[in-house]
Amino acid sequence: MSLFKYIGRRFVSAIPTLILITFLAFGLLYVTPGGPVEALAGIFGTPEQKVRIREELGLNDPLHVQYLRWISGVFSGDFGEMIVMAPGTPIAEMLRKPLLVTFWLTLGGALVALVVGLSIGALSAVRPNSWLDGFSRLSSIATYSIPDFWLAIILLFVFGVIFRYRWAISGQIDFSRNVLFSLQSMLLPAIALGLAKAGIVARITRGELFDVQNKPFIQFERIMGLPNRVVIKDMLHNGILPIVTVLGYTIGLIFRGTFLVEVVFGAPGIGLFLVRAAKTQEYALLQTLVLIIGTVFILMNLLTDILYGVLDPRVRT
Amino acid sequence: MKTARFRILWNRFIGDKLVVLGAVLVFLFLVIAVFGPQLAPYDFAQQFRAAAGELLPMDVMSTTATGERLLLGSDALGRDMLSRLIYGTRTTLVISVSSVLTATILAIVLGSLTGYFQGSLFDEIVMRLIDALLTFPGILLAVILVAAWGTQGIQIGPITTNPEMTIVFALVFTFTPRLTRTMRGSTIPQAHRAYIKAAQLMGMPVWRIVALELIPNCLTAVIIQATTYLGLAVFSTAGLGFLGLGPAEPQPELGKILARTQEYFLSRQFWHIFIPGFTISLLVFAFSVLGDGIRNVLDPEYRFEEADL
Amino acid sequence: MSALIEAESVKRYYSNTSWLQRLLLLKGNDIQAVDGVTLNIDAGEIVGLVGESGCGKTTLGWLLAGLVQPTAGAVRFRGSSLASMDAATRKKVQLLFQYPRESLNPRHNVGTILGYPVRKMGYAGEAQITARIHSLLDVVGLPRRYADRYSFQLSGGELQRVALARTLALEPEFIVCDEPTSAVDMNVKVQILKLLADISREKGISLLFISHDLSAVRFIADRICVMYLGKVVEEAPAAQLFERPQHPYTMALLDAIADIDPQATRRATLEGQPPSPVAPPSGCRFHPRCAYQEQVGSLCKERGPVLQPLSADHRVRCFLYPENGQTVELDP
Repeated sequence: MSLFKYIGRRFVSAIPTLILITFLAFGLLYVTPGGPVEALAGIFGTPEQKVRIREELGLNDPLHVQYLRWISGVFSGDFGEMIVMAPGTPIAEMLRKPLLVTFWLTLGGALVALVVGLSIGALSAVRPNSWLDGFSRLSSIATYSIPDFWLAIILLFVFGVIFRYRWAISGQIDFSRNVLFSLQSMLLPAIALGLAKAGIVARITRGELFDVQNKPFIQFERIMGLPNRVVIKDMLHNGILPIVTVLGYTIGLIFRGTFLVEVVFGAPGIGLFLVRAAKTQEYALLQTLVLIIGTVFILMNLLTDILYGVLDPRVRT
Repeated sequence: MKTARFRILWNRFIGDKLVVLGAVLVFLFLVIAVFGPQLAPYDFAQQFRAAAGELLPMDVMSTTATGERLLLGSDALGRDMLSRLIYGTRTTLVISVSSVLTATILAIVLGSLTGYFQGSLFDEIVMRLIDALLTFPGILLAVILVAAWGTQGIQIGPITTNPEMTIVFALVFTFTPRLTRTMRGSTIPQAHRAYIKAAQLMGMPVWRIVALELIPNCLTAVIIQATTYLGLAVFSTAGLGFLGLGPAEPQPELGKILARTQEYFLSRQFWHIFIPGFTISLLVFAFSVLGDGIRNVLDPEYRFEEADL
Repeated sequence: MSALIEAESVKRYYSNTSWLQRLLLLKGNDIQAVDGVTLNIDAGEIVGLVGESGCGKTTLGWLLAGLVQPTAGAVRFRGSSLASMDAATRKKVQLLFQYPRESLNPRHNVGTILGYPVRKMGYAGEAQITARIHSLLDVVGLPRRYADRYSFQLSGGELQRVALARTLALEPEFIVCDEPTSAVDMNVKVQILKLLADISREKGISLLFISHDLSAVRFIADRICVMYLGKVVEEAPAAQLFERPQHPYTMALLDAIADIDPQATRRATLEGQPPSPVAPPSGCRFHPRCAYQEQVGSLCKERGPVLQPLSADHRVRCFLYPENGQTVELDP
């Protein structure tokens, strides 16, 4: 199959999932305890607001008409308005900054996880059953067990409370304003996120590379006495497909952890936003977040699949 | 013949010291969960005043105004930390275990049916739905669902469930899709085997084929996965509690206890921050190591997969 | 008298079209597993069905047993269609699978495996059921204590006997035997064949015996059909087929056995693999491998021959026989 056809097929197969995601987001309102009007008006909704919402939703229309109205609004960038947290502000506007914050945090966390995880994993694959391998097994289980939000609290406690660094507790990540300070603020969340998942990355990397290194040409290099640095490079080169998989996993894992860690550090990302929306039952915002997160993950899976197809023609069949 | 096979499996299990440690830990936690009310020194909601007569977060080994010794101190409302940890462990365990159990049973039913009717409209619809649910990474879906349902309990007809059930339902939603996939995956090859064809030819009704012929032969993979999910379930339960979406006050839950420790950060009581988090870690550790062990026993060829994350 | 089971120009195609192709209204290539087979089997008759792997003989067997539905054509049992049959009559048509270990659920013991069909036939009460299970084990020549054993404790021959007992429990009138001896040793094979032949004779059960093992078929069958790529190419009484094969493919198959005997004369040798059923050759499907193709000429490539009678009970599908009943003299 040609690469073009493969990509096309992947795209087409993602469409039903995407449509289902919109159903889920839309349906969210209708499973709420008080029904959609109570849900959208929120706990502080005034009677006038409720009347307006009722009109806007057109609750007397059949369900599919309501859905179509809602989805066409979404496509024209109208996600609804905030009601509890910032009354009257369009959601689309509210979401821009948190998305950026989460993006940077995920990137930072993934970087830490990959650097630490890949190096421990690669080193322990080269020397199986050494002290390093044992350490990597133990540490991967340990980091697998340690919740990232706990790690975040400990870091916050040590650097913020004991050493009293101001950046440690700021949670201010805005590269358009202060790049250096933003980087500093990102440091602890990124470490908390990355370190907690580095163990898993190390474990996958070790497993995948262990297979590669038993291939004859790597054994041959080993016998020739080439330095470890060269051997590892060649192994990574041949283990690139597994590494892409690792990359995909890592970003997903880190993103999952981001919103817990955001809550700890008070970093104004999607996670903090989501949790606030959940607590104040800001349903229009929840719907939007379901849509956005769902779409992002579908796209990410798609990207991984396509990358697979590019790197390994066998996948395309 | 059967006993010899069991002996081999048992030796494989006992051979890994880490796994034995995990099993012992899980056993201890289960004892704590079951005998919690007998083990806890005080009621989890009882408030003690510090020696100064105020409601304070007390440090480890402190004495209250009324003379009780609090082994692990108290939280900011003067409630005994040790008792809350014991009851909290109980809550966390009950929620995680029951959600994994429910999800596994659901997955066995859904997975075997979709696998047996592979390619049918039913299969197509269920699998698409599962694909959609799978795009939300783990705990995120649970957060959204708890948020949608609220933490007051869900109304199903005339019955309103208790608030903990909301969390269980949400977690069931996050675990069922992957488990169903696994079950379907192990059902499909079995469904095409001749003994199923033979059953069809004898005119056996479908429910009987699926329940008595098919399912018993397809359980290994889903049981392995369910065991590894126990750790993940503890993680998610504590995560929800930590985000303030756990059981309502005064019910203690490990994640909730951990979240509260942030309130008295500035008193610099390191142990308070350390102990609840450590308990969660130990619990997840015990479950995941035990899950690893069970997997190694049942499926020594296993390789790490995305489904484990 | 009409035959017990009749297949009337049945076809079975396996769709090779993905859902995406279907969505875009594209059509993939169908696999023509069985392509227009007409076959009648009388009560008590044993018919052998031979051919190479992938020629569609298993699919034809499954069609006759009603395990798959024909794409076109019909299978009739006692004159009524197999598809629209009530459950009680439906059970009279059974199938014995190729790999007995596969066809028995590893989680159940022999007693449980036999118990279900026995109960289904109306036996009730522990004593009655046990008695019936024991009599079934007697019939297939297994000790009664085997009722407590599991499939992993039994040998291949014993497993096939258990599978046969399960089939007989439903008191069938027609059994499709799908290569029942391919998974067992030589001596066991002979025992199973004898058992099948005896049971068929005693109870008057018709058999369709599918195999690629010609010696087994010769031993058991009254009549033999030879299949090639989804079509029957020759059909004759067993002895006649072995003594005077008429189709080049049958000759080649028989020569394959004769290979062991260096003195045997060669009429045709079979070379290469059978072509893919996804894209069968044009004209006569056998022509690319046929030793007589040159003699007939381009006709073989252009047009498919029909199955025509050479005598009352011998039919063949080949252009070597242009007129009804006339045999063309072949060069040696």
